[in-house]
Amino acid sequence: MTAFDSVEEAGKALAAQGYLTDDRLATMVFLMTRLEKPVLLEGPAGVGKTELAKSLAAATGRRLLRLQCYEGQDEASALYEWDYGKQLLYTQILREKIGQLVADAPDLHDAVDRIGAQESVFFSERFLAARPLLEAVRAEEPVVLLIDEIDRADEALEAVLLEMLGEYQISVPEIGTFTARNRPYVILTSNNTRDLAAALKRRCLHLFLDYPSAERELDIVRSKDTGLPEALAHQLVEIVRGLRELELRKSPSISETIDWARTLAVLGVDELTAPVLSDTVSVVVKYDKDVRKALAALPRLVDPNAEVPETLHGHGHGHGHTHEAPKVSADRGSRSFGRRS
Amino acid sequence: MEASLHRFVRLLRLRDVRISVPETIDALRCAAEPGILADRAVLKEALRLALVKDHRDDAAFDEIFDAFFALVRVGPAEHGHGHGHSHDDLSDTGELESFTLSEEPSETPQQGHEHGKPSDIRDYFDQSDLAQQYNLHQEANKIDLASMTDEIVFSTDNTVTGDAGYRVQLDTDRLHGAGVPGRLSRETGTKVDAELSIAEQDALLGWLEQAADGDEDDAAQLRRRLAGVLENLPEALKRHLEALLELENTVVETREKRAAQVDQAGESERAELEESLRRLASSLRGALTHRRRIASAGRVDPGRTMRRNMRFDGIPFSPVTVRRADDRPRLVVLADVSLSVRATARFTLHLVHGLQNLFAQVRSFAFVDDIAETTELFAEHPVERALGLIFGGDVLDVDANSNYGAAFGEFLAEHSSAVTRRTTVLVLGDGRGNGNDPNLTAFAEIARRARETIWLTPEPRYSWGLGGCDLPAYAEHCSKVRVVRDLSGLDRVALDLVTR
Repeated sequence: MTAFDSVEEAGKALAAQGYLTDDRLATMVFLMTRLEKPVLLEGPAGVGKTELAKSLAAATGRRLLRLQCYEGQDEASALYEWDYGKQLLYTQILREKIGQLVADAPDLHDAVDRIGAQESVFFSERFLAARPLLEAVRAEEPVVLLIDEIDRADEALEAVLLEMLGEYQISVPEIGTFTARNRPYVILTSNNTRDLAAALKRRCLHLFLDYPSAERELDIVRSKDTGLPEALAHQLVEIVRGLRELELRKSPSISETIDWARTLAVLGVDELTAPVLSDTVSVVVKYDKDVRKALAALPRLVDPNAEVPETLHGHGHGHGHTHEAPKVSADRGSRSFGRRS
Repeated sequence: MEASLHRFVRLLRLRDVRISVPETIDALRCAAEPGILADRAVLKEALRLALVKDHRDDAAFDEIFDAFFALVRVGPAEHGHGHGHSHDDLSDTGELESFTLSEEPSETPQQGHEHGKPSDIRDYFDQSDLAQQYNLHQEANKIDLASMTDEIVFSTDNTVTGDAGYRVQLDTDRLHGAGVPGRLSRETGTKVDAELSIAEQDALLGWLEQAADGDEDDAAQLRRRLAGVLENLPEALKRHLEALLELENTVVETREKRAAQVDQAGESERAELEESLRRLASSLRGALTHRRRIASAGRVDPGRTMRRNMRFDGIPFSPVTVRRADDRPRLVVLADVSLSVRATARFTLHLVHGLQNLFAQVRSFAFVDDIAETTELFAEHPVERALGLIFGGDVLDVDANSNYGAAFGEFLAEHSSAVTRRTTVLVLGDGRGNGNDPNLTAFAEIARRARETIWLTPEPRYSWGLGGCDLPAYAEHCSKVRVVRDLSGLDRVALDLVTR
């Protein structure tokens, strides 16, 4: 499978893999396959950056190679490494052969020359342990290369990537330059925790992936087959969008929306009420401070006309049967206060 | 199409969007792909992919794209070629040539001489800009270019009418919301021993406005002070108008540019700041240490390999690999945000924000006579908002007199765990403790705990000795003290630190 013929086709191919695109994403995928340029996806966690790479690999029938970046990563784990152990082992095993080679050398100088002439044996591809980047370049079949969370790696690694991103080649000083037989589709993702170098950005097409529109999010939730009734899914998406508008430390992502929908479906909920949502809100909101904020806002999000109670506790009394739930959340709040003081 | 796109890129550059030549070529290739030109929305996204590499440039791109390709909707056949017409509303139909600029102000106000369509000069100025720079007193509209008028006339009859532009200066101990010191007052006057609350300040200002019909002597005195400003005003205006006439041809681009300056001044400066910071940080990071540590990956260490493999008769079955340890320091930034450094504090905090954005492991603190951690504040808010919060007094009392001693003492008491032997402490401030106890012991303790202490001060070295500056005493404990008051200074320091 090579490049897509049109933007629509790209969108459809991804949709067939369960990844719903909007115009922007479809255009990006189309152009990326046509121009064979790397793509840099920036955006908050959980908006489907990594998923896009997986879906693209599936849609184009390519193998997915993944380089997960982390702090303090060095180029050896990204490009290649010499397999010293293997080299030493071979040297030992071939000791006799080497001995023969230099046996009839008249002097030391000549012996060194002879061994020098054989040097390339030990610095050949045989002893090269390929890491994702080199593997992508050397692959017989075209691949999709995912460089995940590039912003976590140090700046030094960015520089290492430049040759790969610009020319699809990797230079190994001892051997030479590997150039990609088939240009891989390269997708870089970044959570935007730091600004990337201009040189890197320049070599890539760039897309800022944000939280999706309400319709698209609903479509995604629907397509994931969560088992939540349509009406509730619609309401849930609206509530999540409301939560995103609060100033949370980490806004709920698409994947968390889906998790929430699944959770509610498993619980067999047939009506979205504040207590039910409060009980399960920890699925989408992961920080203590955020949980408190979300709990305070939930009743208003569920029913904008509902009177916002003074405290969550009071709200619990309002609906006698739901007394249990808000109490738990209130306790949670006070406990964290206690820890602070 | 090439020409249109090139022009489009030029317009984007005028808005300080950084676009390189390869990116322009990418954009051309994108546009050349089948199906891209058929749909305006698709073209927009395609160009955005190729050209916009920063989320904050999105708004500028949207705006310019919409303006530039505005005519595409009319006829699908002329993609992008319509730009020439799309700016029709900007072309100037009033005959500007008839502006007369005379060296001498005329005696009496005269009627304008234009024929043709009367043009409103107001349109050629940025209103808010005018009100600030050329209108000395907004209430008295004697020389108000921002008001609706067809002609401007400078008359000798009313050089100074009423109290327009008279200036009253007042020095106080404490003042809130005064802004940058330089803007507040250019000269020091007699100091009034008083503290003004905001209400008192308002009352005072109200009273000053009422005192329009002052005594003749006062007025004369004030006029003398003001003379310089007014004399230069026609000059300045003339220069401005001439510049505008000159720019008439390229009015489109001028407009773009002016809007850009208002909206996002310092976009390029931010880029520069980023560069300098990267350089600075690479020096802070400290080169690789000489210590070699055994690591699972790395180079083979011949000596250790031989030693370990002695039991195999020197046959190196299990190689020992080592790696040079990279001792990456953590950064703790202490920034003075008191009034005395207010002029540079903005820059300073931009610097802190930039540092935090670019590098992990940065903790920042702001202090006046109290110290508060701002790490989260900067992490959560964009820089403008964070600065607003700090200077608004939400974080700490910014109107107090700076007290370095107390701030250092409290830092040591509350946050001493932030400073370890891997930490570099960066102090940003002028070291003017207003005669308070400099608390050298606390600072010495901080410096002792830290691996390195760097002090960046906005004040030139010669003035350190003047009035209440404790910097020379602090400097003994710092490993480096540098004078940095703006970007170029920072750049110099960064270079200096890197090369040594």
